[in-house]
Amino acid sequence: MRRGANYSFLLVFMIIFFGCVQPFEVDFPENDKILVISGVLTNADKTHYVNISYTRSLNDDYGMPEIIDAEVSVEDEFGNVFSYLQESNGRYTSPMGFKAEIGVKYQLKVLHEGQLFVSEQVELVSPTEIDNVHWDPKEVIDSDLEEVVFGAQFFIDSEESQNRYFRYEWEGTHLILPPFAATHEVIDRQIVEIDFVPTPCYSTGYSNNLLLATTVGLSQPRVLDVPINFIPETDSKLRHAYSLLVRQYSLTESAYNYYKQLKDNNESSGSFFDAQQGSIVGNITNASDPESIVLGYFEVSGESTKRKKFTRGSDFRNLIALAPFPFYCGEIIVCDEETGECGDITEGTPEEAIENITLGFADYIYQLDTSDMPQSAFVQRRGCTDCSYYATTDTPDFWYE
Amino acid sequence: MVNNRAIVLGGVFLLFCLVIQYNVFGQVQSDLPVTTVISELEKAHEVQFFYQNDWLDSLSFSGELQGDSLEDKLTQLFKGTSINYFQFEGRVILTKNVAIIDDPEITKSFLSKEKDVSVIEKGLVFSREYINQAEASDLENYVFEIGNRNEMVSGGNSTIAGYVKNVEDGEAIEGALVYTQNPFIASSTDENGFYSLKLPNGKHTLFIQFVGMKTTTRNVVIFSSGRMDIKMAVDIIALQEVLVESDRDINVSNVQMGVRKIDIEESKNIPILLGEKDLMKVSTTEAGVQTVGEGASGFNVRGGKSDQNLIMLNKAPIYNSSHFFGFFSVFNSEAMESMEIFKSGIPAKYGGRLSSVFDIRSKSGSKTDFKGEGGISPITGRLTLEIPLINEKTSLLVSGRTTYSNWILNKSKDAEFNGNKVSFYDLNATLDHELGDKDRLVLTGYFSKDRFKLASDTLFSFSDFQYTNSNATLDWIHRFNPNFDLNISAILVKYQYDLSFTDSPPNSFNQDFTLEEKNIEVELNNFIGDKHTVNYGLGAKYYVINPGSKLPFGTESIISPQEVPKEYGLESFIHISDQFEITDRISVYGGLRYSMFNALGPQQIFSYEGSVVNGSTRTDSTVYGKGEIISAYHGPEFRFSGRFSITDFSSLKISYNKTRQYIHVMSNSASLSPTDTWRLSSPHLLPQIADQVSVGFYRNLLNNKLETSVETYYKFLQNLKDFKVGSDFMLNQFIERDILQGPGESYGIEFSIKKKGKLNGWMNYSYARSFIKLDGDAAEEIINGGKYFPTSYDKPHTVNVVSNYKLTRRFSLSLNMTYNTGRPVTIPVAIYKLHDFDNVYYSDRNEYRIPDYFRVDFGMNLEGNHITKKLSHSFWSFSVYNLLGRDNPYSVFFKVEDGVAKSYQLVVFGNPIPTISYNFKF
Repeated sequence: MRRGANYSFLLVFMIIFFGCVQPFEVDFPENDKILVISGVLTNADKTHYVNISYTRSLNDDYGMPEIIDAEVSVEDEFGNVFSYLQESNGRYTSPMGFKAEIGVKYQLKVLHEGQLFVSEQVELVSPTEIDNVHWDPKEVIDSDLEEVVFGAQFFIDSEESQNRYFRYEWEGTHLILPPFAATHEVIDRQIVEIDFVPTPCYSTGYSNNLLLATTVGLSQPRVLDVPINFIPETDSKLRHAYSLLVRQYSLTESAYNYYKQLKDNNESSGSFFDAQQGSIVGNITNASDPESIVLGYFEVSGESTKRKKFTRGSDFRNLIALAPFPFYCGEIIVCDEETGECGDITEGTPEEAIENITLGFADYIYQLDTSDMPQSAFVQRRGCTDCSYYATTDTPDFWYE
Repeated sequence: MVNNRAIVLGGVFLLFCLVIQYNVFGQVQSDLPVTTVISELEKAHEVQFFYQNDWLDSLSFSGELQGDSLEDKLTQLFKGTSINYFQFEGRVILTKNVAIIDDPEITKSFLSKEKDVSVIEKGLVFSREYINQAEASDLENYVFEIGNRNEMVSGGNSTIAGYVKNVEDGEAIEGALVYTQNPFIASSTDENGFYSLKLPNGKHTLFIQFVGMKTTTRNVVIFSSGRMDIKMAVDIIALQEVLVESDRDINVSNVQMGVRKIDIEESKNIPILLGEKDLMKVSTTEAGVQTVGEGASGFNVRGGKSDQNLIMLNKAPIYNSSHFFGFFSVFNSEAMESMEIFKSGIPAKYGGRLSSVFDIRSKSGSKTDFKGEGGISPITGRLTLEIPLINEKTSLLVSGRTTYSNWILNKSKDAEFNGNKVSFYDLNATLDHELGDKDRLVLTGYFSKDRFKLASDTLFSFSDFQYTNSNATLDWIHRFNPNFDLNISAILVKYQYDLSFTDSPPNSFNQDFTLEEKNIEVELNNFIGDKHTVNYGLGAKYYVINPGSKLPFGTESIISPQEVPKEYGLESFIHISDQFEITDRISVYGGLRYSMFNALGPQQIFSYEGSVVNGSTRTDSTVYGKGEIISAYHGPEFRFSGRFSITDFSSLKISYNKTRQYIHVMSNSASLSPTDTWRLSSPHLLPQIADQVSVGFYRNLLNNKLETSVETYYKFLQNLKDFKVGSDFMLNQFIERDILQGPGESYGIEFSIKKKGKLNGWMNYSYARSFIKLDGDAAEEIINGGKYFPTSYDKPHTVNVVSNYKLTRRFSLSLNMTYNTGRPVTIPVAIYKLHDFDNVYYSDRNEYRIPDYFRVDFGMNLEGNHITKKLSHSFWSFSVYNLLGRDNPYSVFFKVEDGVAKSYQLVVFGNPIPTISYNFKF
């Protein structure tokens, strides 16, 4: 089930001993733009999407997206047509309440610039439940293949089923706790209480690569230890708690083969063990002009999800080193231009705090004591006191499940 | 001509591994340098000597000079050496071995001698003009009578045959040239040192030459057929000049074309990576032979794929010819005798691969003396021992080589290296036994093993990998008579690898691959008259391939056992060929090989609807029982070469050959890798067939010091293998669903110049193209619109320069250069999103190329002094690989990061790699 990546070991060996990988300048040739249609339809009660775009040249980072004006619909084997709605340029959403039924065949139809693009009819494969989401401390090879990285590897085990081919997506949410929570800010040289919640925050990352697994070659009708997501121990995501949601899509054999080829194609490592690369054509054709190329795939799959939360106290403990908070939150040294004296400004009087915040040396007061004399105010930069500006403070529903 | 006191040097100026041999037996201790003796003679006889110092500085003389005349003394002094003398008006002019004619004086003396000879020849039949023979010990001036005077037929021809052996240890000398000058009739000795010449009755001077041996002559008078054994002495003087002679006009006169014989000595000229001289690396400096790059094994010969080369060690095919991902070849040069490469004009006795034959022979041990040789470099250590078991009858050679990189890795303080394991070793053994005058048995064995283990607890990889080559060959050589011999060989071959993954207990497994071959071959050689050499024979090979099996490892593993059914096949052949010297000027070789391949059961063969082969067109399957013939492929393979000598120094050659191949490697990379699987032809995997025509022009210049040639060829190939996008060959039971087969064509032209002398080496340029067409019946079977496109090993321009300069006899420098066009690659041309992740869209297959390859290497050799009494001789070599530190990309690859495609190149040796190695011989 991991055959495709077997050779990376040899390559790593070679590089460690002899070689090196260097960036290398190349002028990518210009190629005609090719239409790409992709869609996933599952049995889940949610909005399903179809995306239409063009390939873009490798030389421009982000070219102007082409305007897409298409009519998108999905037709089941009984002739029922479900018209999709345009959400944004090139993005189409399923009609309310539409989801695929087990054992039924569906076909995608796209009418674009007078040409009809149709997918093969695909039957929904019944979903297979995820049995367990778990993790292990592991060393993995960094994607740049230059060093071995230690961290937490998350896996899933599926339940037993007749399905043999799977694709995965994940969403990982971690808790952010700045070392100091902001209490006051300075507005017009006045100390006022903040009017927002600065912490705790939750940040979510999504899978951005193709994860596949198959039970072909296994003695049991289930996959075990499928690697899903890896977080290096230097990453602050594992400081407090991490909630991982895994979606398992049960695929048809041809969908799996298509993704497998796509994956091998994308993950070229330059070794002599690379698979033959080339263009991969999916299950969509141009019915108006069968000779022309259209890229993409219409996937109809059985979806199941599983979420699990991992915490420092019960999971990572001392197995994974506590990564430093991503912002520096120690002393802030400021020098007086006239006297040449330097000192830490994080602790001082409210007046000094007002001065320092106004001058931009710090952003928030996190501890203010005006009851006793002398009065004191502790200040810090924004990153150390407030995470709401880069993450959400809304506690996700699933957090305390 | 006993040569006891000679310091015998071979490979004096060559790199990496010195071959010094000497014999201390019977050594007279009171050696005087010859130069000292000469000074004394100059005083005593009031003459002046003229000579070149370096001819004499290793010569010594022991004992006393007898007699009064200067002539007598000189005769004694130079007996058994290559020095000739010439007295002239109170001067004594010394000349070296007649072979090195670069002085007008020598030429004169040589010519005047010739005149005398012809006078004698005329009067031969009537009286014994040579009755005033010089002593019989002076072999070169003695006149030998061959045959019975009474049986002589005036104007008839007789055969003179015999063995050429090394005077020192009695070992047969293979490849020595035995010839007469007028008429020019030549023969070279076979592996037993045997030669046979048919000459007109009468007086002749036989010249006998061989690399590293002193050229010698014998005066013979032939009355009728008879035997003449010749012993050659190892050359004392510089080797280079002798090299000139050894294959003096082979370039022009050999009937074969596209053939190159590489001697071990030559491999020393080339500065090699990590201190190992290497036959295979020498071969890649030949015109028409290309490698993929550093760290890749396999070769592309004249636009052929890397699995189309028959690499044989003592007739046993070697399926993985490299250690350490191709950084070293599996052939330990110390145990090897020679290598012959055939790029075209492949003789009929070879078959089974399309593009080339690499015929490598291992060395036999000395039958008289115990010898040893060895060396150490930063990576490897090696030792070779030659052990005479029964004096002059039986010898054993054992040779081993191993790496101690594990030890170095363990010493490393860097945690990343420490604990990693990588090692290889190889063993060679040759048992050579002479049963009598007519029979010889040679048993050779070979074993090599590579092992890798990465300590890091890595995911997605296998943690342990190893492969082994094991071969054994038993040869029985029987000589019925000097013109007819028989060779029966039994050969066993096994190539095997296994890999395991043990990191995740539920997913732990072991996986293996095994290829076995059992061969029997019978070959007969018949010299008919002096014009025909007929070679014929037959043989059969039985193949068993285990294409892969995967077994769970440990009790927790949920991996199910997976086994691709074994494949069985029988390849059989008969062949006959004749080399016919029509006239002095025209010589032809014609051969026919008929090969047949049967795929055998037990096997299950699937059939497919129509011509499209994939999972969804599968219709039915047929089960074949054990030994049942599944499919039979057969066909003739014609081999033809012809030579026409335009002048004595130039010739024109043509050749045509057809080759068929029934075993194919499943690999879509340009090189061979240890995890490649070999599969046999089956109803779906058709045999590959090639037809090659080539024409060449050869000319030697400057008295054969400069050899030039131009060869051009065109090849048409059928059923060349290529693969569908994303195909996976490991544990693939339905290999036919991933494979694509189509016609191919290759053509090119090769220019090469070879120089001998103090500054020696070779230079070549080749223009070579190679294309394939894949035009199937389904979209997945049509590549690049079904048109011809370059193969992944199509590299049009290649330049190789190998140069060596000998500053003194003990010190030499070499500089090599290699350039070739970058190989074709398929590169991304666009990017697109699918399910929120980026994907790349590729160009046509092999539409673009990686940057060109250019590398310069430098080498320096210093050998120990030439004192004869030292017990062992040592030799240092220093080399720098990739002197300019150029970043030659092994490959380029692309990654999409944050929506932007980035290109990277993998450079295997981006810095100059210096190596020092120490070698010794005793």
